[in-house]
Amino acid sequence: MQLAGQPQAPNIIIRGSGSSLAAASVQERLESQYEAFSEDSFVCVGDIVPTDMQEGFLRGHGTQVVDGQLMATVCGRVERINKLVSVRPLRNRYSAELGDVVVGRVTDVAGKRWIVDLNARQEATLQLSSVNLPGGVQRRRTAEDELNMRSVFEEGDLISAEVQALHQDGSVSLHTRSLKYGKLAGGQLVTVPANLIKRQKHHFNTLPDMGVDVILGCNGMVWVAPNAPPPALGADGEPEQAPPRPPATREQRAAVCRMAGALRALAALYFPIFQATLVDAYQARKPGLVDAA
Amino acid sequence: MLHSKAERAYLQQGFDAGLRSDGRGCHDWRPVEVALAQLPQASGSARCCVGGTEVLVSVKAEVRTPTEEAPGCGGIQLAVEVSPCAGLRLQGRGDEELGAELTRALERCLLSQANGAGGCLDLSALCIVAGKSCWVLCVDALVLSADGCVLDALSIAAKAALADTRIPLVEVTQADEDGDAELELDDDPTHAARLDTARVPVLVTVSQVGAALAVDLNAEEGACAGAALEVAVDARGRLCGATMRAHSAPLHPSSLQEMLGLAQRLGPRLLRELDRQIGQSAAAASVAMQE
Amino acid sequence: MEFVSPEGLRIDGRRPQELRALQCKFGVLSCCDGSALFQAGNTKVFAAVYGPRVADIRGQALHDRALIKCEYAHAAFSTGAARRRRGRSRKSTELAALVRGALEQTILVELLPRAQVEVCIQVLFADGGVTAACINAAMLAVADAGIPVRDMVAACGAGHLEAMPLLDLNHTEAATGGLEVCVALHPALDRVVLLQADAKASVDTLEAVTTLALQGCKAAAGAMREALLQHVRSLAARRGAI
Repeated sequence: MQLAGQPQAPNIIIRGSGSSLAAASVQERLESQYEAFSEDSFVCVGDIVPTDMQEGFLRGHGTQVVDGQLMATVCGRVERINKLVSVRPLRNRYSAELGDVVVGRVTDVAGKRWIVDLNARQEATLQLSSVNLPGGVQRRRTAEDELNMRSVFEEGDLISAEVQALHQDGSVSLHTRSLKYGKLAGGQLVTVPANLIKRQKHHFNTLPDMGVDVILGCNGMVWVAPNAPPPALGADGEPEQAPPRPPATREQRAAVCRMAGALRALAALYFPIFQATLVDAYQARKPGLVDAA
Repeated sequence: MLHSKAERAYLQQGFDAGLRSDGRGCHDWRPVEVALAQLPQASGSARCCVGGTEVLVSVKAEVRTPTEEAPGCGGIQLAVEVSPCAGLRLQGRGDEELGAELTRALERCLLSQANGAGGCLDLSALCIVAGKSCWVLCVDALVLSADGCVLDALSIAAKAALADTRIPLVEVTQADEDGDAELELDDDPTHAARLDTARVPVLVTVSQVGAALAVDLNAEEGACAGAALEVAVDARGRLCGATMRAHSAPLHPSSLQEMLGLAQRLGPRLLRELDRQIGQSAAAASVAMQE
Repeated sequence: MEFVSPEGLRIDGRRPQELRALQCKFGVLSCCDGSALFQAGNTKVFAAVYGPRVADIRGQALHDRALIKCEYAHAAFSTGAARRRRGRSRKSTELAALVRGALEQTILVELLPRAQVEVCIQVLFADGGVTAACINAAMLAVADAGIPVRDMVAACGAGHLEAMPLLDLNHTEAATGGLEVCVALHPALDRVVLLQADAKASVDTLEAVTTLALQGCKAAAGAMREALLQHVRSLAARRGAI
């Protein structure tokens, strides 16, 4: 990554495969931790999940009952909470839970709702009644609002939202009824496996030392942008909707690139992603390196 | 692939500032991984990974009768397939159509005119018995995953596979009364001949994003790019062919000169690095064979 | 040509009831939800799974279960034969249908209404036992993607040459045109999911060969299970306990 302003000589690296030493050393150190896991905490598909400790058990996700015995339907770790026995896979597609903060892309605009793609099993819907209208007024949605839906969000837009409701068939309803949610602009999107994102209290991380804002969507879509200026207060003391931001400077852009690179590195190594690991990964990268391990 | 207007604007500003979304400059390639001898059943093979793009090329040498127009020359046959594993069908692009497009683009780069002269490989070296038998190199490429820069990766892998190809030595025994000579192939790999691939060019795709010119666009950047020119350049910087990509935006004539110039500067550097890597792999392989 | 020597060794040095060396790798392709590489001797097959996701053709989505799609391709360099014709052949359509059938019996489709699971199979080298390798690779990729299944499905082939049942024929042995059987099994539920037999044979021969193939399936299932557990442990070690 050339941080100086003058054009540098183009960077062309060709290497043979199998020369990734960093990945190999990480693998060795991790293999030493495998013995820490007890034998029966992992099951494969078709294995009987041991429940000999209790008489009655509740069947959780990832299991099925065959001939009175509990059999695993996915490969993963066994979780026992009181009488509930379930198997959680280590890798699977995102499945929404109530209250998750997600980043999604609008794919369709139709009939009082937007269809949003969350990289999940089903698409999510965002009703017209679940968004804040421009201007912040609270009123009933009219037919004119329905015709002007594209002025709020149009096809291809990235938005941050929260899961409002889950339906029987697996579809999800979202809402953006807070000023922190809404259209995302002036940054870049990085997609990581959804299992790596830890569900926490705060998914909107502001890192002023690095100069970036990171939104860790629970569905694995992460938004990285330069720090936003704090929202100005309007005449009535309520925070106003922010005006459109100027384009990022080169330093801000470099910080965003570095954070995106840290995210990709964590995803490639399958490490959990939350603020502490992000900060460590960001600081571990030397400026001047273009690619992750 | 859908993009919001804001994302396109951010991408465009990145190119204008010379700092792309993964930290590269406009003229930087992603790290390229080349591995030779991946398929033991082929005469030569290579695998090339450029970021998320992965291609596999195999070269099989077969004995056939030469064509009537060129009785003293061998031949090359090229075919590119896109694997369904690449998931391109889900994005709305047809696998077979893309495979045919890539085949034609690679043919224009590697093959010469019909008479066999002036091509990248000396086809007369592939002749065994003039008019009766010759070597035909069947080059088959497979695109396993596509993340932009597919054609460039294919040309790099094709060149590496050709450099890795071993042609068995042929003994031509005495012709019998019918005039047909018996051919005996020597199976010993250390006696095999190598091809001279010094003149094989590499394809550099130069794209125009706003006002900036860039190489090696990944899939996301490629969706926002304008005009794209595929330029075949050899190690000495000479142009071996230039084609505008099939679905590219129109191009201004003045940009054409600039794009060709950029390709002519970058192509030889890429080839130097590639030749160095091929040399290293070959040295390691011969050491392994002796052990 | 003699397929089983007097000492009881086949042309590649195996015993008549010995499987070829199996190798399983995961995460070989990054653009999909689950991927795996399955290798039995020289036969090498990639499988990639996209899903469960929204059906790309809305009209095809089923309201109460998932839609399973299967695509099969074999590379032009996968066989030693002369260059094949372009486009799909009947054989590749049939193989895709076989794999889809085996997966529809295996995946718990009722848990994924209106979703689509697409399995793409790419053969890199075909040295006999291709149908079995495709099913095994698809199973590994589906398990890697975390899709719920009834049981593992393991497949194996067997044949009958020189009055002896032989397990896991390679290409040279299969090309003689004798009896060849391919079986897929759910090992824990003990159900046969797929049975395909070519060539004329007596009932006793067919039974003997099928029994041998089923034993081969169980051995393959054991190897696949070990590989899956190893993969899951390595992912858990990296991800930690979140």
